[in-house]
Amino acid sequence: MNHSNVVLSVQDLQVSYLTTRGRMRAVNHVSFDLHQGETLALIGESGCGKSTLNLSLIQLLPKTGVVDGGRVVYANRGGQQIDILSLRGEKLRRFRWAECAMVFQAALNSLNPVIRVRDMVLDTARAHGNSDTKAVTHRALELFRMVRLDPDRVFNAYPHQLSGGMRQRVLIALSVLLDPQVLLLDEPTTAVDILTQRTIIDVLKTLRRELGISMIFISHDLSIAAEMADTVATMYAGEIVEIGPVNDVFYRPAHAYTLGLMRAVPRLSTDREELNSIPGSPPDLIAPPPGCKFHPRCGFATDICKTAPPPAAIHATEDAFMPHQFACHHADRVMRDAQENPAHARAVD
Amino acid sequence: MPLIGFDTVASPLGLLIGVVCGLVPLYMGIRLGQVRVGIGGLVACVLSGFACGFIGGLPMILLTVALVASYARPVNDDPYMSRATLEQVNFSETRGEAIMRSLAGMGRSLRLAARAVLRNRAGFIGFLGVAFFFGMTTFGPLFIEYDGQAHFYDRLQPGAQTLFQGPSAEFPLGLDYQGRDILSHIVYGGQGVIFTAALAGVLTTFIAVTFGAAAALLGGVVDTVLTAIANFILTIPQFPLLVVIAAVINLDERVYLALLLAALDWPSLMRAIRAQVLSLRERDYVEAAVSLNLGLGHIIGREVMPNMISYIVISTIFSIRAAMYQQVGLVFLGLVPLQEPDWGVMILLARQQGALFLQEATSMLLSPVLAIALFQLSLVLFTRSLEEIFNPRLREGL
Amino acid sequence: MSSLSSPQAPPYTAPSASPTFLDLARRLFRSYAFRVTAQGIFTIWAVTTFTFILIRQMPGNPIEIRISQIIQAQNVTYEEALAQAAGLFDFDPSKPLIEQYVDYLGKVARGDLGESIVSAGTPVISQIMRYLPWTLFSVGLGLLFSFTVGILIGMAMAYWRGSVFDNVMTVFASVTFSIPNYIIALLILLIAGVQLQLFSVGQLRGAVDPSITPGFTLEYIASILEHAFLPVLTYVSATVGGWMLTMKSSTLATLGEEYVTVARARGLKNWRILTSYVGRNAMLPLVTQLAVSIGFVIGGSVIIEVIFVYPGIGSLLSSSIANRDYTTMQGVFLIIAIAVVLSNTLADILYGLLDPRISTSGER
Repeated sequence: MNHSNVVLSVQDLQVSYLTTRGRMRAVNHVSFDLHQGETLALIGESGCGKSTLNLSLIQLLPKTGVVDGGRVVYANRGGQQIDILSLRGEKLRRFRWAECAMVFQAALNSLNPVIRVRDMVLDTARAHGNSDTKAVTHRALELFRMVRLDPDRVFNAYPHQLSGGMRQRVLIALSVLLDPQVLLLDEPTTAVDILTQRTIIDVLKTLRRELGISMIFISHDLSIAAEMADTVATMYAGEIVEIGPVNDVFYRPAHAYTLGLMRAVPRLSTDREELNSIPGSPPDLIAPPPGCKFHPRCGFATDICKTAPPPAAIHATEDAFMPHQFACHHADRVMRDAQENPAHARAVD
Repeated sequence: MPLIGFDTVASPLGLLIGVVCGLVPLYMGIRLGQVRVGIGGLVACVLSGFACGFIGGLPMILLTVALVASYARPVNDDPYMSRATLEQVNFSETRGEAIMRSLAGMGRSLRLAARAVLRNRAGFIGFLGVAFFFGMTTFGPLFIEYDGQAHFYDRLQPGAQTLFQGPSAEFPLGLDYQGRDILSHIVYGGQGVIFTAALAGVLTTFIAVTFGAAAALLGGVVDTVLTAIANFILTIPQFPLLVVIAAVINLDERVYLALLLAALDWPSLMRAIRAQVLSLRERDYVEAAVSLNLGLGHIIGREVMPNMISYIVISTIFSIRAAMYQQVGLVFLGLVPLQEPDWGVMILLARQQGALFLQEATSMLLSPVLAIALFQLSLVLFTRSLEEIFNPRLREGL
Repeated sequence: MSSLSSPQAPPYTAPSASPTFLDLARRLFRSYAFRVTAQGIFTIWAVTTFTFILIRQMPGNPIEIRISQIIQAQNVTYEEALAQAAGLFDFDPSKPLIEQYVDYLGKVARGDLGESIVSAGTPVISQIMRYLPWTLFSVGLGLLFSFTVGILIGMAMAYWRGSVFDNVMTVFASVTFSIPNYIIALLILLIAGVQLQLFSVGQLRGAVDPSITPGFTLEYIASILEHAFLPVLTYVSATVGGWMLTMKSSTLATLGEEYVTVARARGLKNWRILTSYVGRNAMLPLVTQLAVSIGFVIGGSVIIEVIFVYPGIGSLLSSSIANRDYTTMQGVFLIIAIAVVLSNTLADILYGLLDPRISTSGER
């Protein structure tokens, strides 16, 4: 990880969906920096705005989604700063995949069922101005090998001839075909079996090692997040409520929601452990609760949580460039609780 | 077949049938404390009995009683659907209670359907169109006299070559080749066309649902044989087959014609029903009912049918449409010796009498053509509303 | 990194160098095109058998009718009349039914459909060959045109859903889709021909202007197109609405598919996404419907050709029925059925070409 090099800087990003009931703020004042080679894991329940955040970074929001404010600045290899959200038309098209690619959930059919993998590869290259079939094929075969696929078999196959795990690796290989700097991964291991999950994680690690790619990684699985991430950000109700180096966030969580997420993870190691799921469900984003949005579900909540939004606080960490930031009125109590019941906090081991 | 159909159209007998039928919802309404709905049911029954005798009256009893029941029991209290705990649910309802509950459920669906019809603009227009044609063909004869005799002398215009006349104040749709009032032929000529098409449509649906459900639920040889027959009929082009059969056998009775149409039209619907029943059978709640050993009747009547009823109704309407297409087509080719008045016969005669060359004869051809076109258009538009009821994605907010 | 290290990849076996005849036969048998063709052949056989039974077993047996006609007209004995009728119908009533059936099948396979009753001496097949091309031409042109136009407009409706264009087209499609094709034909004739006098109804009868000498001349081709215009217009008007509405909903469904989003994320050009990703997938359900539509349009051509006095197979069927020419009727029906089965088979093969999930399922 190279701290001097920020490849992607998200500044005060706000995204809403226009629904029949009103404006739904799905991403609310989100800011963070992604450094070169860094992997940022976004954790949180479904409907917390993680996927929306990812989609807005390459302007792929559905028609009802609008960016209300903020900037996303991307630094290309030439050191040029690009405001992604102001890209339009041909510029946007060329930016996508070449600079910033995205891998979707394995369960969804991300590959066009009626064309061969070969054509998808060549299409992608051609759309970005590379019509050298031979060179592209060579590169693709190399990448297929890197993601542990049989290159000859996969290259000429139709998607339906591949298993779910193989399709997911095809998409991963395809995502790095144009050598992007940033890879957005939206639950890449959901809905594949445990062995395939392992393979995909290993493949992603290999890619990161060999290509030096930066990743934003959405996952429900905290143990995978812990394994992959350098930095972890917890999202709740469209906001990043805690962000910091992986060890700080997982071993010394300062936000009650992060702690709740970790206590909800079932473990094999400890015996007769009760599973503590967080009561209730994420709030309605059209009319979110006042104060701290987590307070209706929070065991630490007091009166102040119901009225005042918690201020952002910072803890210094071993890493001078990457402080541990959080927004919780009762960070001290949460951290103490996490220290006193460490078994709960070791969810990620 | 006396008393059951259009024979009793707008006759005192039909009125009597309607009143007798209407007493049932009225009685239910009084007993359940829903007098106003009961009176509404009486009116509906009288009207439909007056219009179509028992064919209109008996189904209307069911519908209106269901409505009365739904007003009396506004909450769905099906023990099998209940979310309460096992101890709280009363499974031991009597047969009467169970029937009442089903009726109430049906009534609620009816009210939802009525609301959907009112909300969907295209569907509402279609509904009005269908209602208009039914009203015109059943009650129209009360107001207009049928003009069946040729007027060779009294209506011949001085200097005119033919008896054809364009629309005038006295004859809004003009006169046909025998100087007869076209309007009266339109009013009287719809009954037979609509009756045949409706009968064929209902028969088609009946065959398709029976065979489809049997094939899906019984499987094995039954399934193989029925599916093979359906596939075979489907591959033969329907209309030429009808033409050939109509050329060989004599179809001078509307009922036979309807039977023949239904005998050839059922396969595509049967395959759809079979597929639906098969997929429904795989659903959790049906499997649950099977494992609870609730009996085939319960499974079909309570778990499978409610999920298909709208689809079946829509399909019936499309079958009616197809039957009308084929019926009028056969008549147009002169293959079905039906009697006047009949829209199809009108088209046939108009064409034979040179309506394609005489401007003043246009009305004789155009009137039945437009009547058929508008009726079919109304039917298709009407299904929009039904689709809204059928498709849960469109049903949001109900 | 070796490809064998993947725990998921099934063991990869290279095809053996020289496939045996058995392998080839098995692959042929499994191939989609073969299955579809076999099904088509079976259906044609079944239809042929069906016509055989229809003509012989129907109440009001056409042979008996013909025999009584001959007896009345020529004042001969029943046996003589029977022999004459049998000659026309191409069967020997003294043989057992099964033998008659085999004879009949053999003759049909050789293209021998007997002789016309009305114009004696004319083989039915030659008559059919004179009429069939016009039906194939007009129906084919109409379907091709309406399928193409319907797909394009339907896609445009989906892309600009909710726009004025979409609304206008939806109304147009719903109306034309709802009205029977012969009603549309009559309306065209009445409004454009009789009321507006845009063309002369009488002059457009037939397939070409008889005064023009046949040949590959501009004048002749123009005459063919002119005469086919009204039937084709009818086929197009009656079917294009259906294609538009189906394509619209199919495109809307496809636009929601993940691979379209991924294609946009991949920075593909819009045109490429529109054609290879949205268009090709959205078209698939319509190709299946094409098979149904072919049968329906050819069936409907019976009335349309009568209305426009167009000398296709439909009007031949209609006139043969009017003339009680049962041998012609039987032959025409058989040919129509075969034509529909063949078109269905073609549509199925086309579907296999468009959707690799169908045609390559055997490889899995």
